[in-house]
Amino acid sequence: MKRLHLIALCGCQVAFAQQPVTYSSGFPQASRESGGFSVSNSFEFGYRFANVGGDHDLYRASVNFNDGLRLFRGDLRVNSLDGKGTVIDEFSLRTSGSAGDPYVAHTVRLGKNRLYRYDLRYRQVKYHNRLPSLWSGEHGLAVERSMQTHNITLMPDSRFEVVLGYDRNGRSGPGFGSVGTTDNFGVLDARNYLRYQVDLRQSNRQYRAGLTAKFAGLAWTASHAVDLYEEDGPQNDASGLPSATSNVQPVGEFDRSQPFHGRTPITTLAIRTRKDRVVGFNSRFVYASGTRNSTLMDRIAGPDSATTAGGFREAFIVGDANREQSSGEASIVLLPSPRWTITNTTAFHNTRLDGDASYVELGFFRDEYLRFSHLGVRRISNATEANYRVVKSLSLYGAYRLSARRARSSGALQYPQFRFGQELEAVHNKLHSGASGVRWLPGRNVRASFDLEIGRADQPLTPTSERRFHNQSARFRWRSKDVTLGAYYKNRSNDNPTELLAFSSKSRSVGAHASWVHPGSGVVIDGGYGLLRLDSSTGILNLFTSDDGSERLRSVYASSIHSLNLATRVSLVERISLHAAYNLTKDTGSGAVDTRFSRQSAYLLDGGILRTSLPMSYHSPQARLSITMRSNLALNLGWQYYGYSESIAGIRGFRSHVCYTSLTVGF
Amino acid sequence: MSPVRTEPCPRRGSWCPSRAGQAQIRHVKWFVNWLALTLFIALVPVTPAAEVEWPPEHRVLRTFDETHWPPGQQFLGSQICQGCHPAVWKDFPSNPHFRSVASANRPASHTGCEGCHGPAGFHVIDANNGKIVKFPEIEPSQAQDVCLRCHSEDMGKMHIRRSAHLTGEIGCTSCHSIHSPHETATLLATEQREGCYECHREIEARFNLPFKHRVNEGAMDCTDCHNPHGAPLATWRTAHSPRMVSHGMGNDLPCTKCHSDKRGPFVHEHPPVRVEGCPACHNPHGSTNPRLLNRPTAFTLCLECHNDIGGFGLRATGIVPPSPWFHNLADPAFRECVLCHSRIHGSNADPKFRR
Repeated sequence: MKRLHLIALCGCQVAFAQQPVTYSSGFPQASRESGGFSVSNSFEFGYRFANVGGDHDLYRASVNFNDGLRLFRGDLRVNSLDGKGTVIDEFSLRTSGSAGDPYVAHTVRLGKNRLYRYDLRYRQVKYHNRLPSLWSGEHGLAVERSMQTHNITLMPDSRFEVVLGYDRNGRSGPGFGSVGTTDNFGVLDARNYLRYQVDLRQSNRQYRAGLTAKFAGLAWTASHAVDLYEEDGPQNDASGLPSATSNVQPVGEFDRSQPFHGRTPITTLAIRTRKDRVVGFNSRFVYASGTRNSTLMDRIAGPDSATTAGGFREAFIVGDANREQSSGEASIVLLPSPRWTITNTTAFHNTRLDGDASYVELGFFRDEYLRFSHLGVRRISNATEANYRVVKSLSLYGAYRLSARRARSSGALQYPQFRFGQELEAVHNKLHSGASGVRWLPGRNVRASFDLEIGRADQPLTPTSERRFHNQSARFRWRSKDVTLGAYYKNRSNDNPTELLAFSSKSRSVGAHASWVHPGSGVVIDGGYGLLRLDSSTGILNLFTSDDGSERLRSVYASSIHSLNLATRVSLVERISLHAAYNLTKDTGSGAVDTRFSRQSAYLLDGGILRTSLPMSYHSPQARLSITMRSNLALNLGWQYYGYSESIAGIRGFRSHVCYTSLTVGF
Repeated sequence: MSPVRTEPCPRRGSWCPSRAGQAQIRHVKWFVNWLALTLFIALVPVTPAAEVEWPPEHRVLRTFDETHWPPGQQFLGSQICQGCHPAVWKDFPSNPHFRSVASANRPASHTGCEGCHGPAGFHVIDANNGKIVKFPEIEPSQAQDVCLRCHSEDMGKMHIRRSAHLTGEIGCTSCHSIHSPHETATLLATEQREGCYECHREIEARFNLPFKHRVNEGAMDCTDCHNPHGAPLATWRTAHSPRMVSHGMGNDLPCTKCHSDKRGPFVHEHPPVRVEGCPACHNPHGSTNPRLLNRPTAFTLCLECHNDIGGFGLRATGIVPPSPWFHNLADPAFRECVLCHSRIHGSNADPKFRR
């Protein structure tokens, strides 16, 4: 009973602390036995309506709920009482967001003991976003992505299991984007980009089959999958669309088709010990060899600055890309005593990407020319980790990790008359890192942990990669029958010094939360506060030369996200309960609001410093009233407000009231 | 695996492996080495595992080991448990653990009530003093040892011993409730995201930002990208972090499971995507910036790497140093990098990702 209480407490406190859509707990659940099966179910359906003000694009990119009848959630479970049903022993269906919500999820399981088990997961997301890097509105998507995963396990839980699977992932819908144009010498001219509209069609299918056999104290798995990818969709001139910027180059004619198809066979082999009593071992090898073949046909007619050859350009490009990846891992687990857990893992990964493309461009060089590119990444890593329980309430953790990575690239450009070649270049990076931790459990209700990690790399690939980093974290939680208190702290720091200017990044998270449940009345009060702070600084050379005369800048980004959650659930009278919650997220940036930030940018060139920050506020109060009319019937009324605004000069944001009325029914 | 690609070999006057063919041979060598290492190590633990002498303090696992039983202790079968625990048994048919009871294909020590709680021989005689495993009273590590008697053979749990959860003393019963689950398929005690948020509050705060993956809306789960039971070492970055992220397509980033258009391969790859992974530019949990970008403006994000400062990148002279005379960012036209470099994740037509 005590455990049930704790579970209820955890469930409630977190359910209140998040951005809710509909509540997932506290529903009537009808359960009965019929024909040798136990059946339980619960469905919530109703009408949702939304009133949106402000920037609709922003609202649709962030929240996107709209009006209509909805099946908010459903749960149906059927289980045979003796596990010996004729065709099925288990059937379960979980669904949310059906009938028009932008976020739909279904999960189905069907099974007969020792004969088969079928799992389906289907999801559909409507994604709307015409928000590029920041607000100039040149890229957009209004697409629908649907993903389905089917798995059939034959002879489950036996010595030989066969798994057959099929995935389908599709994305389709309209979008628009831009393409950079070049002059006669192939030099980019950002003033002359073209805008295009695309009817996006992407499709991904995967077929797989696998076998797991258990013998000789080991479990052996072999599987093979074939992944097929297709993308097409014509791209047409969209210069006439309204634009937030002025440098759209009108063209007389623009057509492009860029279909490409890909195929990736994947082979996986794995071996693992079935019982890791003193020594355990597991190993895995994966080989994937992917290809994608593409063609691109461009036809542009317009002003000379956007095209060539008297206002007309036509390009035909055929490309083939190949990627071979192999990765393997072997891990040994040693359990010499209940106090010790020691693991050692050695892994390798090898990727080789080769791409070649042939170009025919009318009005350019007229001759066919070829490009070739290569990227190879090889990585070998080893990690040794040990856990030691000093006493019942105290355990120590230590780890040493080593990683050696080599990244190589080369390329070539070949014309009939001459050839440019880029020699093979390589970056070797070696990382040594150590970690330690202390876990303190002085009582069943108290848990505290502290972790530290320090690492050093010698040649990272990018300035933002880990080089001299250290991470610390601490967590504390005290939990009694009625009360939970918790706190956390995380600090991540990375410095990447160079000869001239250094990259430095520091992120800190700190927060605390508390929950209280009154055992008699069921009143729940929950609250939490968190601060996520990020500061990064990096150097830039030679990119702003003509404006302020400085050739050396610092780019500084600051973000301070405050997150506040408050929630309560109260039983007003018998059969009537009220859930109320408030959620606030606020980014104060570097601190005070700087009014010099312009409306359409979150950056400011201030002397020798390029400052970037996006102060914003996002808050969302909500309430839900549930009236239980019968044991299997409840009426729900819900309201949620979403308010978003940015604090840079010129406010941009949205506000919306999303309400619903629904019935929760158990049949 | 396709046949090894060959090309004319001028020195030998015959055919020899091309560069791609040599790569194929290297991949085969990796496989052979992996197989040899695997078979060598795998043969070691098989025999002695069955002859383990448990240390005295590990009484939980000794409970299941017949060699340590006092006289009179025995497995009685689950039917006898129903008499005193009818409420627990009533819901048990919907529990995945009931499958082994119905199938009756497992030994008594691995099925039914006694499969987890140990033999009930003494317990039915004296419920208070009879030795039986009571999970609320044992440590998380002991509880996980009981679970792993059966579940360590699962493919998804092959890395569980070095997962951040187990090394952090977060045992199976911290998230799973066997007899009062919220969801019967996984036996999770709460909705999955709620269980994760209970500890990972800073991640919960990320999902409350205006731009995020739709986890709170129910369209995604944490386990779409993470394996809470431990994941293989990452094939991106330097392999050791992030630690609990599962792989997509066998050995790729999990992002590519859904965002298959970004997976490639492309004729012209953006190297950081392959080497450092998507988090180099995106925050997968949530962001204040559209498209989950790490910075509110794309060009400041791009410039963190493309800063023209030597010592980084494959050329070690700044990553693809742009020429200032036509990339002068004092001109606002150059501050929206993706307006022209619109195929920034990889292109089949342009090494500068413009089409």
